[in-house]
Amino acid sequence: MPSGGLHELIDAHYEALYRYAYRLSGSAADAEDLTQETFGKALARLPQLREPDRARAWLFRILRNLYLHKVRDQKRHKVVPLDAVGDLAGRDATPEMPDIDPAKLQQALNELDEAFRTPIILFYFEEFSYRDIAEQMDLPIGTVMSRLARAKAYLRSRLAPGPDPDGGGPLPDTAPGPKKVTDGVP
Amino acid sequence: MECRDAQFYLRLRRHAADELGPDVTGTLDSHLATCAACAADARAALSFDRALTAAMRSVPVPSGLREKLFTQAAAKQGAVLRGKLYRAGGLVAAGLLVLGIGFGVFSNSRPKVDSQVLIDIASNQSEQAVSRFLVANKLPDHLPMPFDYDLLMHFDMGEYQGQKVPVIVFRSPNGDNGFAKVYIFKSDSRFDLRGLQDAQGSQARAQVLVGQGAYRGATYVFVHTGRDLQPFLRTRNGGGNPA
Repeated sequence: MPSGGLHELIDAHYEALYRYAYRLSGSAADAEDLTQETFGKALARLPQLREPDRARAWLFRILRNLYLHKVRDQKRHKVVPLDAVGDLAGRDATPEMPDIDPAKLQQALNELDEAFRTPIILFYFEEFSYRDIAEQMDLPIGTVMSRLARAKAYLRSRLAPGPDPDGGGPLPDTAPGPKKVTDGVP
Repeated sequence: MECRDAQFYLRLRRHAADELGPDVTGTLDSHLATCAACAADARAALSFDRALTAAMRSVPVPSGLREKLFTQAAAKQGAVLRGKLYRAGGLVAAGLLVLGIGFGVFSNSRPKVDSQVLIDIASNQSEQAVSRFLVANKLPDHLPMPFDYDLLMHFDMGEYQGQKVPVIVFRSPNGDNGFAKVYIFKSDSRFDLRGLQDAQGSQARAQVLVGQGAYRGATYVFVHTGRDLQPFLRTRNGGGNPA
């Protein structure tokens, strides 16, 4: 792709990248920084992009690496046993799901470890295939599917109306303090 | 397919682009057609997916972000271009430096030209040429005076008073159009010295030297400008005396 293609890349992908960054970081300021840094890196590495059709996956990967670098520096990970996440949804799931408050969704996402958060964001938000997500995260496709299933169950337990799987009743308006949900994957 | 498997696959099923493959999807759909509980779960999962997708995408993008990104891209591209320019300039400068150093090494390692040696070589060659010319005319191979052959202008046969005689001409070192001519006659030749002097102009003087010893058989007539022949002789050897 010629170097003049950066402007086309920005136009085509900046909104999706910003939303992805926002859902990853949970902060508008961080999302803006991450988006800018992503295009900065992309400019420096533009000659490496041999398949323009893969530009979106390439940019998302750059952004995720930048994010991981940031959170690694900030040492924000807290490990909570994966048992906190329900593996399977209960039979009492509401057939018709009302609209989900985006802010509550973000709260729930913030509670997920990045290892779960990234696949679920990519799965819903940008509709990456399982294979794409596996490539993004350098994971076997089976691991991606397993994490997706667990993350989805967790979000459903947090966001769907009905009894709290932990016995806490419906999701309160003010969510409890964030607890990271992880299977110990760094 | 059992209900537990159906629950697992329902969670992974994506309705927009089902990636479970026809085998799993076909079996799952067959199960859902016969199991009311799983069918209800499937509807709930679909409903949840739709709600979650909508919420996930509901992120307002800052209005000025696009302009910021374009500004940043322009600045970075400028920096990249400047970087390339500086690198290219550095390479050119380095190349010139290497060339300069190489030229310096070459110049220093090259033998130095000693201009005096070149003059000496040219002078010796001139003296040897005159010597061969004299021998060819059956005369002593050297002039009886230590002339400075750096000042040699030419030598040839000149006609004078009906006879051809060797003439060797030197220029003045002062750049004043002065000269010294050496006419060489065989001892048995006859010539009119006054006529010779008149022919060279009133400023010229003439001296005659009858050869003796190694110069026997030749008479040398020196016609020159200036007071004497000293300016035309080798000074570093302290000059020489007529033989």
